[in-house]
Amino acid sequence: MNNFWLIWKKEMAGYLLSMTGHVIITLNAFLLGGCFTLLMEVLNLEPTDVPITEIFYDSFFFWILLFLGAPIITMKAFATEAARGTLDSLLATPVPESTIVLAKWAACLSFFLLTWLPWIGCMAVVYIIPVSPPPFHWVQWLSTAIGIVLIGSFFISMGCFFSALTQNQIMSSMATLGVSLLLFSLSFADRWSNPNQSFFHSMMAQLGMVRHMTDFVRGILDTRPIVFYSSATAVFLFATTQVLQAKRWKS
Amino acid sequence: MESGHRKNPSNSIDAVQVSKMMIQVKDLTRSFRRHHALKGISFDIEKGVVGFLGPNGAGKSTTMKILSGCLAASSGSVSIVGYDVLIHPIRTRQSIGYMPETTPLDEDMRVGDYLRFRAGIKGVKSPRIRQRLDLVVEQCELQSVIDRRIGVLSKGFKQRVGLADAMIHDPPILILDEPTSGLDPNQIRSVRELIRQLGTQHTVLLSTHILQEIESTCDRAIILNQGRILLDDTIGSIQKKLGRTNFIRAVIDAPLPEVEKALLHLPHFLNLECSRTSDGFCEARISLRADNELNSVHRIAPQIARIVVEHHWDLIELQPQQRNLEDIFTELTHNQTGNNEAHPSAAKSN
Repeated sequence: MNNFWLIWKKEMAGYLLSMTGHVIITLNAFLLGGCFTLLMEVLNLEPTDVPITEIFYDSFFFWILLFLGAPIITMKAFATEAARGTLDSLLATPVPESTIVLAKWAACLSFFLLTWLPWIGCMAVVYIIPVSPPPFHWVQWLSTAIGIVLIGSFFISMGCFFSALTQNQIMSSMATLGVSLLLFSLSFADRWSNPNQSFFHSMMAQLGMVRHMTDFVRGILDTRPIVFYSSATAVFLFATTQVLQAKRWKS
Repeated sequence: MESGHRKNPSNSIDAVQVSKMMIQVKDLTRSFRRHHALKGISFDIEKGVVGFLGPNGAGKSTTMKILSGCLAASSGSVSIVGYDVLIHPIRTRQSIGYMPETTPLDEDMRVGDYLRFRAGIKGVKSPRIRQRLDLVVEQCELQSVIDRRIGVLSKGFKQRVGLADAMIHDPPILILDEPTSGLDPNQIRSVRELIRQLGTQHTVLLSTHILQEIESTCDRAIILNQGRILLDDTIGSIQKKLGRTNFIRAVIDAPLPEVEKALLHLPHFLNLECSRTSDGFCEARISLRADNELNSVHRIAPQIARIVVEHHWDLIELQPQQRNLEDIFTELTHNQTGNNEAHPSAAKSN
């Protein structure tokens, strides 16, 4: 456990003390703040009963932040270390590969969630404004946060996997972004599939990321997407550990 | 030529000796696609400083990576302090301090923070980290850069940070891949002295291209070439085994063919090499058999002087010299290359 925290702390320091980390945080804060300001202006003109969490999720900015965060954050997790040669010296220490992967994934996820902190601030501002009816229930806020954590942890684990596969940061980020967008496009596959092909149609419908997130922003905590994202995260983390072990045979 | 240090575990006496072995390598092979970097090497190491010597591509770094657990072997076995590296990877990595050839370091970190981090993940308990840090910083002379970012350090300092990293958890075995490359002469001297000191309490395996480093630092040398061990013995024994420990270097102001013709009449010398120096003199290197008293330096040197006087030449320099590891190394690696070139099938069949 000590090794986990040591690597987590080092990775977090690497993000927080680097120019890349500051740029990511600033860009996220700018996009979230800009998006929120636009939403407020629209709501002033056209009041609605739809909770603000759902309106925000419907915006382009939400998905941009969700999709771009993971590839940019994870691209340096393993790829940069492998290119510099420091991954070899880390693998030569008496720390199991699984601990290294978990600690790096946890650090990437922590930083990813840190970049979403302005969203909490924006929601808090809306929540404390005394309007009737309230713009959203705190359960909707909480379930939205759970959705962001689950999808974020899944994308981060996928990013770690691609980062471990290559020494090239660009390749790693493009692969993560590409597969994320492919999975996102499955949300619309059920519209194109034939409803008579019941198995395929229902499978596509269950994999739909938009459908999962719609439930989360409405305050519905379905166990199926929770299990899906948790297990998919575990699978990618296991695969990343295997990639690191395989490096000893390949290099 | 491979080591004769293999032990039979079935023998009780040998089993005791096996337990004392810090490093045991048996029939180790490693292939990279079609290239065979190691072709079944075996050796055992107890205490002391052992030098790994060989030309580029001999398999030194590959062997060191396998010992440190960074690379898996294609076949064969490696035991570190009695534990197989594949079965007990964590245990064996705890016992090793590995300094790779390129010294990869986290350049964004400060020297002190980096060494504290490395001590932590190598299992040094918090109360002891301060003590170990102070010691390795002093031993590697890093006091002046302890608060500086690694990225801004010179190559020599980075090399010493890598050495400090290898030593930080006080491992019983140190594997150092070219530890003095990039250092200035004073630093080289101090690192060699440090390695000698470490060798009294640790097992140190170091690779280098600098042959004098092996002679001045190591108790034993393992000479590798083309993935095979050519020689594995103590420095003293290597020189004795070859039986040709001395030669005389004579620089004479005379025509080269005449010098060559005259010196050929010297009795019982082993080899004669004549060449021109940059000053236009003739330089003769006469190899002698040390085991033959008649051919000792003291008998041959006056004879050379007599020949020079008889021919009315000028003697510029007459210097008895001892064969060093460089001569032995060159001879062994050249012979091996020559044999393989002459019989390419031999390399394949081995």
